[in-house]
Parts: sequence; structure tokens; C-alpha cells
Amino acid sequence: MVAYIVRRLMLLPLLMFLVTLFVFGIFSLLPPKQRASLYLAGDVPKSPDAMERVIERYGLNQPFHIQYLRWISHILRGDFGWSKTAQRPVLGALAHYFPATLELALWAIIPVIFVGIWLGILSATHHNKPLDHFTRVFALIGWSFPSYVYGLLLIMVFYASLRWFPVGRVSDWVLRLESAGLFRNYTGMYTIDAILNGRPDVLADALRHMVMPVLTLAYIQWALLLRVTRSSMLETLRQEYVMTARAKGLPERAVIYKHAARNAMIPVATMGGLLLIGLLNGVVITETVFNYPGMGRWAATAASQLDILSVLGFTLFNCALLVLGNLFVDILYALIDPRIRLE
Amino acid sequence: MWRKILVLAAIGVLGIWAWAQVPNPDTYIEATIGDLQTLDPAWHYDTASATAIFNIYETLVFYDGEYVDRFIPMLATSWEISEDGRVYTFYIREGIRFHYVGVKTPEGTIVWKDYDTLTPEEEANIVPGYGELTPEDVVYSLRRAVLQDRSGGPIHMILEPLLDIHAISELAEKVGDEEVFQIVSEAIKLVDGKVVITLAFPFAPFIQILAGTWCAIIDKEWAISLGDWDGSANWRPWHDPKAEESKLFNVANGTGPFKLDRWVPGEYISFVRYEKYWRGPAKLARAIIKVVPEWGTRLAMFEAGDADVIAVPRAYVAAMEPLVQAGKAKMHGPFPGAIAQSGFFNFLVAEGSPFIPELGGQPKPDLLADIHIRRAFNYAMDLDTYIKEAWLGEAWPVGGPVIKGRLGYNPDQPIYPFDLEKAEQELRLAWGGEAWKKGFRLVITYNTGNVMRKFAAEMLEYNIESFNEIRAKEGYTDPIVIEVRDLPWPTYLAMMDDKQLALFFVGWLEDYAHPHNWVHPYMFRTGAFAMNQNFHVIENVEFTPVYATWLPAKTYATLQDLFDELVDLAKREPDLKKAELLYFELNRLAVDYAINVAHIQLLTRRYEQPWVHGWYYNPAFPGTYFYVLWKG
Amino acid sequence: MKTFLKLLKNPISLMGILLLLFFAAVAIAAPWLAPPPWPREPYRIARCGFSPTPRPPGINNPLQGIWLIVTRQAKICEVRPFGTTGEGQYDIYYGLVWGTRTAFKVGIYITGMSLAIGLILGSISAYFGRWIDEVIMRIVDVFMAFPFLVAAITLAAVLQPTIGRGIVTAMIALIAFGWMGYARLIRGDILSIKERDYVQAARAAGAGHLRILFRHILPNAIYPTLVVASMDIGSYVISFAALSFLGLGAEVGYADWGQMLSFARNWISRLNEFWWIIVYPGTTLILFVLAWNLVGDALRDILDPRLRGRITV
Repeated sequence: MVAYIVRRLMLLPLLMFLVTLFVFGIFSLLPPKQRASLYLAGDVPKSPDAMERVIERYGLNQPFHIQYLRWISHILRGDFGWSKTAQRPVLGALAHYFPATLELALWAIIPVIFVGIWLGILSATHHNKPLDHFTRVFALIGWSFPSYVYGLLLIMVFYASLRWFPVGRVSDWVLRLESAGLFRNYTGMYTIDAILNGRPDVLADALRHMVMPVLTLAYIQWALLLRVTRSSMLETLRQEYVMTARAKGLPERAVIYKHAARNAMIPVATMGGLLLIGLLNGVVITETVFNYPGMGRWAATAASQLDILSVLGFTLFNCALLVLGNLFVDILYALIDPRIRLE
Repeated sequence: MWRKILVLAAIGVLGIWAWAQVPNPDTYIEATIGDLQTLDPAWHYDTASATAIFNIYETLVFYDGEYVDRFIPMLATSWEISEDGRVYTFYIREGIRFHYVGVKTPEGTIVWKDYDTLTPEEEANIVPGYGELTPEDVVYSLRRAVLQDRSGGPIHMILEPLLDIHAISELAEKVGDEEVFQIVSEAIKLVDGKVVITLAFPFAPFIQILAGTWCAIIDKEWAISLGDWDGSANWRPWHDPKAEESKLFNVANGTGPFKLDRWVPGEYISFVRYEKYWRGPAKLARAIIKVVPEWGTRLAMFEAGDADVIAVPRAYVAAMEPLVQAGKAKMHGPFPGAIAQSGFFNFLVAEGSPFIPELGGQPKPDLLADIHIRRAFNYAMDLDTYIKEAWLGEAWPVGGPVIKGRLGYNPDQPIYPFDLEKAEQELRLAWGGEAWKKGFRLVITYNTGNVMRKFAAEMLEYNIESFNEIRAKEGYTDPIVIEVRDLPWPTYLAMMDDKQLALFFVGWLEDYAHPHNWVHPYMFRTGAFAMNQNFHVIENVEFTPVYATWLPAKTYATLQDLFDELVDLAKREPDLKKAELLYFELNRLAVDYAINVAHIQLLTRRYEQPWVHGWYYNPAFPGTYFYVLWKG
Repeated sequence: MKTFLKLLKNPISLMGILLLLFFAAVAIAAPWLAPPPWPREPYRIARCGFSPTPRPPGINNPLQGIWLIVTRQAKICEVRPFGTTGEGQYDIYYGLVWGTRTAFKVGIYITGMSLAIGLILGSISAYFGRWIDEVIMRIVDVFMAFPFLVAAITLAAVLQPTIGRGIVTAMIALIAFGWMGYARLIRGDILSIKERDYVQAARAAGAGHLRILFRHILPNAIYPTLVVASMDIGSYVISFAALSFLGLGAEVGYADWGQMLSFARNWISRLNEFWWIIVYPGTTLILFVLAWNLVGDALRDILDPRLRGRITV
């Protein structure tokens, strides 16, 4: 097991190299003038040499390999460059935005997994009855629309009309606390920091801001989780050992949860990787709609404005995250299903 | 399970209670689309940065109420302009302090402290000149801006009249850094405590430029303490910095009514009231500008009362109407904006462009060089319907580049009416009849997401392609094909700059309120748009003046030469009456030669919560001026 | 044959099949249902003006309106059975009808290609194991590590001036970054089946690799993958909506359900006034995705040998 983990981790640098080379390659297909627009701040060039000067200034016309090697040498010294779209160093942007997205994703995982699996089990145990149909259609509607539809609907009802849950990460008064130095940011995640600072009011505020984005993120994923859990459960419920357990007279609840559910979780664990990707991709639109300053929103802005340094930094980070995430899922997978051997 | 629900409910109730407790009657909140680029006055060019700088810093002169061409003293108490219009002398106000002043500590070092919260002891230890407005600060600020001249920045506006050059680096290449410093120091200098600026030629809009945020006055000592230029001949290290390299990138110390509180890039910028502001403190205690790119979210913030003003893109104005009807929003306007939108003809599309026009199936890069085609497009553009449907009637067709409200705007300038018959006539004449017989292909481009420009392009497409029916009846089967394509902004800019776009729609927001800032970009060879339109392709142009009758009738080598000469004459003309006639002439030429299509001046609206008061409209303001607002 | 009859017997799957048939019929009959204003460009959605604000349906009974259009008694823009979108007055009825063709094309093509690539790579990887598995899984990692939306945006910026927007570019992007899910899924299932008794038996009996893979392993391992695939067919249409913002996806004004939704994005906050911009495209989308799901589910219920004859809980 340990050898397996070490081997997987050792491949990480190779992976990062390949992926960033890939990204650099794509960008090098772009004429320098397109990349120059990033530094003109949204305006048309107002003199004939404006773009040329910008290209000179930022070294956009140097050959691809020179730019790439220069970037690598900077990376190795810990200098990831300046993110024009985040207006801070790339590393700083990652450190600033990642906790926000992480916080969102972590809080979203809970309803995604628990409610998703619960719905799946519910559906499977009431196979072909009205409850089954209802939950399936409910989850399906979640899958059918891009997330901004739900996001904006939720905002319309729960924010604009009812004023229950606001948009953004925290209210202005929390920001003022921070400005005044009365609230320390230890992790960059407001919910955890609120506990560390001993401020339940900040915790409540942060949670209230997260209700809608979390629900939006979760709703999209429920459909997938429900489907896989349901089909897996249906399979498992018909297996021999379940028949045996029932014949032994075990209560239905124990049959479902102790015996069937555990084995049904195997495909779900496989979904883990997809879920992670789904969440990380899903946050892009969710963060934009809810004005939640996180990685998704930043990455999308950086890509559309051709801010290559940001895109590279984000890609590296994403790379590491996914490799570690997949590794974790694979290990989990092996732990759940004793028949799998990780070579 | 139930315990979980109870806990969640408790948190929810607590949260709602917490929210209801938070007041913000003295905080003005605005939600906009884009973030600022920098707080360095000399570096910025975008409106978001300008808005912040506008509230934090001040300039020598300020706009008089709602006028864009009348000025009141601000940091200058008065000024004189010499007879020949080239020398400006400014008397600088005394007794003004910046937000942060330099205080001498017992150890002998100088520390910058908030002027509002000084203890009497600290106040006694303020170092003279440190955080105090002096004429040296003014000279320093202007010289610094001129010498910084960052690529793609605003300084070319100042350089043009000041030294008649494009870029400082251009001059430095010719005469060397030391000499450049001498020249700049001569042009902007201190004489007996007065600031004297000498221009290369008389330039009427110079005062306007000085009122712009790029001429904001900073404190020399403060800038130097941050590591900025020390004012000496060694200016090169601070020349053309990247945004983040400027020492004034994310810090600010101005004389304006608001201080920088906090700027979190990409999220918000907050300001606090400068209590000891020299004109008396503002009524608002705080102001926040939030970056909220999603329209639906901004609207929700407005409805929830969390934003006092939101940016409303023209296309979604209908969504605000119910709020105005119900008295939940105030609408100001529509006002004539300092902004126009036009279609630009490129007379010669560059090689290698995927949008090279075709005539009869063969590439014809100079398809649009024929006057008849351009006139046909103008006659085929149904501006009335376009303005009514797309802009809700809130735009004006303008003849020639100069917009209404500026010197040189000619209300009697004829413009092309919507007339499909005339359009047909012109098309038949185009390229000696070839265009009508053999058909042609043209791609109209706009930048992705700009729905208004898309509509203009599409209307042209419909009307021009409608001639295919008539042509078919005459036996001409090769179609006229107009394609409308959108491009992402970076691609759009790059292709425009490479002269690869054939007919493109773009907007122009005034830098300063003077006709020169219209004819230059639209007609001068180095103008933002004209430089991508290749007017030089039209040769042997005969000119007979209609308005500026003192000019000789002449033949010019190219159309560009004609435009250049007139633009140059107009900018140097000290006599307002003659200048006006010169601009009339330029407008006429622009229309006669049909260098644009669908050139319209846009009107703007502003939507506010009913409890916001004090706002007034001045088209030259880059954004909201917090000083005059209050909530109640 | 037996499978098909079984499908028809099950009421749920019957509903799914009928829905799919309905959509297929709409797709085939598109030129009659919604006559194209530009005969050479049928996928160009009919435009009813240039106002940025959505216009309501021109007739109270949409079915009556559709009848008028089909019998050529009225023009689409006179009737507007489903109203028009914002940002250009695109007729929603037209967009939905022709968008059905796009939905089928896009869904089947992308799913088919991604599934094929994913199945091949995933099976090889899981079956042969060891270093083959490593290499293929690392390739999967590279593709997965690449943030999809970022890749899509960058691709759009690079390809725009040359190829221009169009469904082809979007489909390439979705295939290129969609096959990994299937690969991992099939690999996971094969890994767990690989060691089972009947597979060992077949190996012991001397069966060749391909035979074992195709006869014994895949038929048993493929169900979760098919379940996901059946959902995906419906979902690619939705991905197009997300991509429209990023400059990728169909050209503006191309008949594609995702486009209809993207035009609606900025008017959702006023849904009470402009309900038709979501209700009609939304219902269509949901029914389409539902149809594929029901059929996919029913297929699984029928084909899975472990479920045969024992469907009771």
C-alpha cells in the first residue's frame, strides 16, 4: 500500500510538467496581441504603438520555449508571477481563493453525499413505487439545468424577496471587523475562523451566506449520486447474502444499512473522482452567480482574459488537487472492497 | 436526524436576527461590473480606477456643476492663460493637508499618520511639506506622470500638447534621458511659487485634461518615502512600470473628501470619510464599491436593499421598470452620455485576415474603399428602428464624430436617412456595377456579449441581403452575403489592431470633453480607430471648404492627409469661432466620405434607491462623486 | 426481440420510449413544424425584431398557435406560440423544434465517442493491469487534472478567428474532456469483477484475453457505465448552455436548447414577468433528459442478468 502511494505521488511532478506544457502550448498558439489586451484594461489601444509597447514590456513576443523555461526557473524559486486578473501574486491568489472554494465544497459535500445516498436508498427500497418516481424526477430536474438557473431562482426568492439568505461570503460588518483587526483570518475559511475567534455571530453570518450556493451545488450532484446509488442498491438487494440475511430474520433496517448499503457504496466511491471534478467545475458558475470570490470564478476570468500566469498557477494547483483526490478515492475504494488489490 | 434539523434551524434564526441588526444609513454601496486596475493616478486609464481616484485625490481645477467646459478652482486658487494660449500659470491653494501626514517621532524618524486621528502632540510634530500641499507637489505630480508614461496609458493625451510627441521613450531615444528631464522640467516648472506649464502649441482642451484624474496631485514626500521617483534626472527606473510595480498601485494618500479604507482586488473597495477635508467633511461616512459581475445578482442586491446603485446594462433596463413604477427605485436621466457607438469601415483589410471581403467570389481587401458601398450601407441602416427598439429611443444619430454638447457639433449637419431605394442606387454604382452584378461578401464583427452592437450589425445584414431578391429577378444569382460574427474581446482588439477587421462596431468613451477627443480617434492617422481604417487608400482627394471658407481649395495626396491637416489646424486654433467652423468641416467630411455607419451618441440612465439624494449629472465624471451624496 | 417486448411491457420504460419517439418525430418533422425563414440555414433561429426584452407569446393557446404555423396560416413571428427570448427576439418555438435535432446529434455523438474511447482505454487498463494500467491512468489524470472550463475557454480563444464558433469545436472539447469518467468507471467495475469466480474459471479453461474481456467481464461490468451514459446523452445539451458564456458552444442564434437557456439567464430574476423564457425550454429539457433516463434504467433492469426474474423488494 505504501509503495503504491509513494509511486503515485512521485508521478505528480511529471504530471504537472506535462499539463503545464500543454497549457503553455495552447497559449503559444495565440498571437501576442491577443495576450496584450489583458494589459490594456478593457480599452481599445489608443495609439499605433500602444500594443507593440505592451508586448515589449511584458515579453509577449519571445519564443515559446524561452517563455516556458523562464517560467519554470521562476517556479523553482517559488515565484509564480503576478496574476493580472486577481491583482496579486499568483500564489497569493491561490491562497486567497482556495479556502473560499474549499469551504464551499466541504459544506456542499455533506448534503451531496448524505442526501444523495439517502435518496438513492429510498428510491431503491421503494422500487417502482410513487416515491421512487418522485425522487427520481426531483433529482433529474436538478441535472437538467445549468446551475445558474437554480442559483438565480433561489436568489430571486430567498434573497430579493424574502431577504433570508444573502449573496457574497460575509456581510459588510464582518469585513469591517476584519479591517479593524478585530477578526483574524487563520484559515481563510470564515466558518472555521469564526469558531477560532469565538464569534458565533460571524459563524451564523457565514453559514447564512452559504445556504444558497451549497444547495445549488448539491442539487446538481444529487441526480448523479442518486442514480448510481439506486442502481447499485438494486443490484445488491438481490444478491445472495441479502436473501440470507433476510431469511435469518434480521430486521429490514439492518439488512439495508448493514449489508446492502456497504457493498452498494463501491460504485459510489468510484464516483468520488467525478464528484470532485463536478464540484470544482460547478463552482465556476455558482461562485459567479452568488458573487462568492473563489477559485472557480477566478480561473474562469483568468482564462477568458488570457491571463496565462494565473491559468498556469491554477492548473498546477488543480493538478495536485486532483491527483491527491483521486489517490484518496482509490485508497478508499480498496478499503471498502476487499476484493480489490492495489498492485 | 431531528437534532441536525434543530441545530440548523437555530443557526438560521440566529443568523436572521444578526442580519436585521446591521444598519448602514451612512454607508453608500454601489455594485458594478468591473474592478479597478490601480490607484496610481498616472497609471490608470479605466473608469473603475478613475472613479476611486476621483474620490480620493483632487486636481488643480474641477468641473463647475454640470458643465464639462466650465471650471472652478480646486487645488489651484486661480490660473492665467497667456495671450498665445501656450503658457498656463497656476496659483496653488495653501493650508491643505493630505490624508496622511509625516510626523517626526522622538527617535527622529518620520512616520506617516492619519491626519484625522492625530494626537495634539503628533500634530505639533508634523514635518512641513510632509502631507501638506505645496506647489512642489503639483510640479512633482505632473512631471512624474509625464515621465512614467506607461505603455497603453493615458499620458499620450498630455504629451501631445505639452511636447508634441507620442511617447516619452520616443523622445528619449532621440535626445537621451538627461535631456528629456531638462525638457520636461522646462515645460512644467515652478516660478515664484506658481506652477507654470508651457505647451508646444495652443491647445484649448488642456484645462479639461488637467481636470482629469490622471493629473491628480500626490504628495511628493509621501511618494518618495514609498520608494517612488525622487524628482531627479534619474527617472528611467520608474518609467513604464507594470501595474503592480508602481509604488502607488494599492495605496493612496490624497486631498479628496474620502480616504482609501481597503481594496480587496476583485471584490470591493471601501472608502471612509476624510473628516478634516478642506471643504468640510462629506455627509456619507463610508462608501463601498463592490464587484458583482452577474446581472441577476446585482438586481437582487438592489431589490434586497443591499446596494444603493447598481450598474444596469442597457439590454436589461426593462427589468428595472417595475421597480421604478412601484416607487422602489429612482431613475435619473436619460442624459446625453460622453459616449458613442459606431460602425467603422476598414478601407483595406490586411493580408492573412480571415475576414477579407470578396467581390464576385474573389478576395477584394479594399472592397470598402468604394464610396458607393459605404453610402449604400449608410442608407440601408434603419437608425430610427434601431434606436427605438434596441435603445428604447435613448440614443441620437450624429453627423460626424463630434457629439452633441461639444463645441463643433453641427445641428444642421445632414446625415444619411434610411432609404432603401437610395441604398440600391448606390449599390448599383459600386465598383462600376460589379458589386451589384457579381455580388460580394463582407463580415461584420462585434465583441462577444455586446448585444446592442450585435443588433446594429444584424439590421445591416438584413437590409443589405434583402437586395438579393431584386437582384435575382434581374438574373444575378451570386448572392450578396453579409455575415455577422462575434469575437471575444482579446481577439477583437488584436485583430482590430492588425487591421484585419472589415466592418467593426465599437464604442468610444470620451477622455476629455472637447471635439479634438472625437476627431482625433475617428479621423487622425494615429487615432484609435482611424489608424485601423486605412484612409490613405483614397488618393487624389479634392477639397473645397464649405464652412472654414478661409482655407484654400486644394488637392491632397490622400484622404488621410486631408483629415490630418484639418485635425491639426483645429486643435491649434485659438479663435473659438474659427475652431468651430473647422470642426464643422471635419464633421461634414466624415459624413461625405461615409467613414462610419450607425454613428450614434448614447444616452445614459442611472438607477438609485429612493433614499439616495444629492446626485447630479456631469458627463465628465468617471463615476459617482460621493461627496455630494447623502442617504435619508 | 424479447428485450424490446419486455421494454414495452414495463409502464415506466414505455413512457420513456414514447417520449423519445415523440422527440425523434419532432426532430424529423422540423421543416414542417417550423418552416425556416432562411431556407439555406435552417438552424438559424427565426428572429422577431431587435428589442432586447423578451416578448410574450402572441397567442393564448400555444397548441392553436402551432397549428396555425404548421398549416401555414400564419408566420412564426406573428404567432410566437412560446414567446421570444431576450437579447434579440429569438422565437422560442422555432429554437426548440430545430434544437431537438441538435440535441440528438450532440448527445448521441459526444456520448458515443466518449464512451468508445473510455471503454477501450478503461478495459485495457483494468484487464491487463500493472504498468499498462499505470500509464493509462496517468493519462487519465492529465486530462482530468486539466480544468475543463479553463481548457474550453482557452480553446475558444485560440480557435475563434479561424474555425469560428460552432458546435464542432464544442463537441471536440466535450469529448476530449469527457471520456475519462467512463474510463475510470469501467476500470473500477472491471477491477472488482476480474477476480471473481467465473472469470477465474474461464481463465483456467484457457480462454483468450479478448474472449474473457468481451464475454465474461464487460457484460457484467458495463451497467454502471451505461447508467451514467444514459444520463449523459441528455446532459450534453446543457453543457452547451454553460459553454455559450465562455465563447464556446454554438454560434449566437443557432438552434440549440442551451442557447435558449443562455438567453434566459439575465431575465430569470424577473421570471414572474417573463415566465415563458424558462418554462418552455425547461420543460423540453427535462422531458428529454427524463426520456433517456427512463429508457436507460429500463434497459438495465432488463439486461442485468442478476435482476432477471427477481424484481421484488
